[in-house]
Amino acid sequence: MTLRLSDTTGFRAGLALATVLAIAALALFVGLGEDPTGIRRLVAAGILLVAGGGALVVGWRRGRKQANAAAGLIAAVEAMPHGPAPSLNGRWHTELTPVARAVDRTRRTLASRLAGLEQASAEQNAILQSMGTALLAIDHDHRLLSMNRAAADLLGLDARAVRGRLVEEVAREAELNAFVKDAVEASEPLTAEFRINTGGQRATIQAASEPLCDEQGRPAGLLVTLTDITKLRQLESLRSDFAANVSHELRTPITNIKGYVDTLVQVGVEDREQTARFLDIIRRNAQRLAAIIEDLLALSRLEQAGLRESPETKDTPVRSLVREVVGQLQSAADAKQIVVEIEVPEDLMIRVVPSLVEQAIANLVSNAITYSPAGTKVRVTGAIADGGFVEIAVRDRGPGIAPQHLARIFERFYRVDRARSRDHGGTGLGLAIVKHIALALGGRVEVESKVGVGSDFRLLLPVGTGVASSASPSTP
Amino acid sequence: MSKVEVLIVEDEPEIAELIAFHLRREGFATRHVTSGRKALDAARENPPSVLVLDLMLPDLDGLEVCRRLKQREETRAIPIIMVTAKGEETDIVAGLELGGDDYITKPFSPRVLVARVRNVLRRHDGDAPIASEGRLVLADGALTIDTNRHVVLCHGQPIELTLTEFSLLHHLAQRPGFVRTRDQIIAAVHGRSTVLSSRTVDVHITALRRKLGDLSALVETVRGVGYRFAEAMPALDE
Repeated sequence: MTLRLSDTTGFRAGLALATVLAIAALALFVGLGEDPTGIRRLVAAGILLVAGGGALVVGWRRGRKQANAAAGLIAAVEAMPHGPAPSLNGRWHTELTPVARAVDRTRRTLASRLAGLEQASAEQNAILQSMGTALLAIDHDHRLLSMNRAAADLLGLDARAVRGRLVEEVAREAELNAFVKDAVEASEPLTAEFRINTGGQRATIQAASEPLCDEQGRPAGLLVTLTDITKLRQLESLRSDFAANVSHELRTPITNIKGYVDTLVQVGVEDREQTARFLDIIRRNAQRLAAIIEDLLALSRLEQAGLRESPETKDTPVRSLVREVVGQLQSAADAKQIVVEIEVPEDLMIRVVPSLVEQAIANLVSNAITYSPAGTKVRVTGAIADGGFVEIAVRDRGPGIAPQHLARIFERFYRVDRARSRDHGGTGLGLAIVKHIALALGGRVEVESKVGVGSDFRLLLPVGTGVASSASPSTP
Repeated sequence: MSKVEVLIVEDEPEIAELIAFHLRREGFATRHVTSGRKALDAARENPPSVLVLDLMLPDLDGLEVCRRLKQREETRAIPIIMVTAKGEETDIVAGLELGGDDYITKPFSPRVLVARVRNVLRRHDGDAPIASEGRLVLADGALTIDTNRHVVLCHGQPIELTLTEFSLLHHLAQRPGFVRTRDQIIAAVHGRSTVLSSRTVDVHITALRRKLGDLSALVETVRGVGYRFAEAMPALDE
């Protein structure tokens, strides 16, 4: 017979049965005197044995359940710091049940706190990892504690593989290592700028160190940030080149004007021919200065205008634009026996500010005529290009432009050969203007050139968009 | 006696012509080259008395020309007057520290240029303001520096200068009219008295001027470049 009872009821029933049997056995023992044969004694002893055995079994089973419950609780509590554990509720109906409930409540609170902490830590990690600035945590012995992705990329390292290793060992950058050494010794924030190799290139790095402290505020090492400032430095150098060029371009004519005027005024030149020559120099330099200022203003207007709608925007046949420009430059071309060929389909239309495009084409054609040897040909072509663009190309058989200059010729005042462009009276701004006109109209300018063969400048402008494309809603 | 020859290194032909015109009027002979490399060749083949060097040149820039000329024994002694259109003090400072002797900035007055050429020549002929026996007599006798006794007399009255102030004044006064950069001053004064930084140069100069009283204007600040002892010549400022 098996009793299907709950733990507590079973336990109580077991105890009751054992008690009844024990009383029965006792009653038999009380009457022993009347039965000296010992049969009753045997029966009594048997009953007592059964009662004792039953009590033992019930007690053992009970003890085991309690121990299991306690062990389960201990395991559950121990598991808590490692993350959410399964609920304990309803698994133990013993005296430990209230404890289990309390533990369960704690578990839930802890689990939600842990989840919060994990999220915060994941967020922080995500921020550190996605930062553009390279971060390195380094201890006092120059061992890498951790680094973010930017640092690993910059130094070309595997962040996990190098953890705990010496900086000097993994980053073979003398200047970086010297900086780390200084920063550890200085125990105060340091900054430095140096160059390192990264991805096969030299990069200019701005390094900063900040002492790291543990929870007790004791020094624990360094946090080093490395910022790649290569582009910034390049821009600065471009800017300073530009400033130097502007300064040179403007001061040269001014120096000449001032110098020759001073000479005529202070010294007085008796020689009539000399006087005429000096006056001519002054006039030429004044013209040069005026031309530079005119071009600078044109550029500044183009930058301000940006993509603004212009009332002058209209559908224009490309051929008439090109013809107009070539007509203006005909005498310059004739003077060098240069033939300017025009190949533009009659029906090629473009919606632009005609005067801007004329100026861009004029600058390109004028350059072609200026730099081509006498008796050569200049070809101006127009055609539809991919992506809704019109391509206006100017090709010459001039000396060509060397590759090292090609990328820079659209910069303001960039000169392939200063002496040559001075002889031709250029301002150094013509191609910059072409580029800015193209940009203002939503297009671009491209160049291909081969030294000794010639140059091919291509102006690409949106067919029907350009200035009008970003027009305000008032445009019909 | 052969004429004193000036080598003009300038890529702008009209500016070169202007410089040449004025120097010739003053009795100098002139030669003109248009690039840095040509300047080096010309200076080595036939060293001029003075070099007037534009800093912005095609091929080799003026600073590099200056450096190379000062490196070579046979061209080291040629005084160099730098001409810069950059107007950037960093170039002037770099040029002076490379051994350039003086500079003018564009636009310049031709007369100033001629005066500067004369000045560097006088300096190189050993015509320094040293009067006799370790005594520098300056500003028409208003200031006397006695290098043997470490005494400075202002209008005949001795003034109390620290060792550093004395060294500074003495260093600048040896070359009136010539700008010395802070680094040049530090290099010259260093070891003689105390270790200087570029900021402490300014502090010592301020103290020195205070002690010079009405002669304080003799120590001139050249913004962004350094200091110079006022020139004993007619006003030459552009």
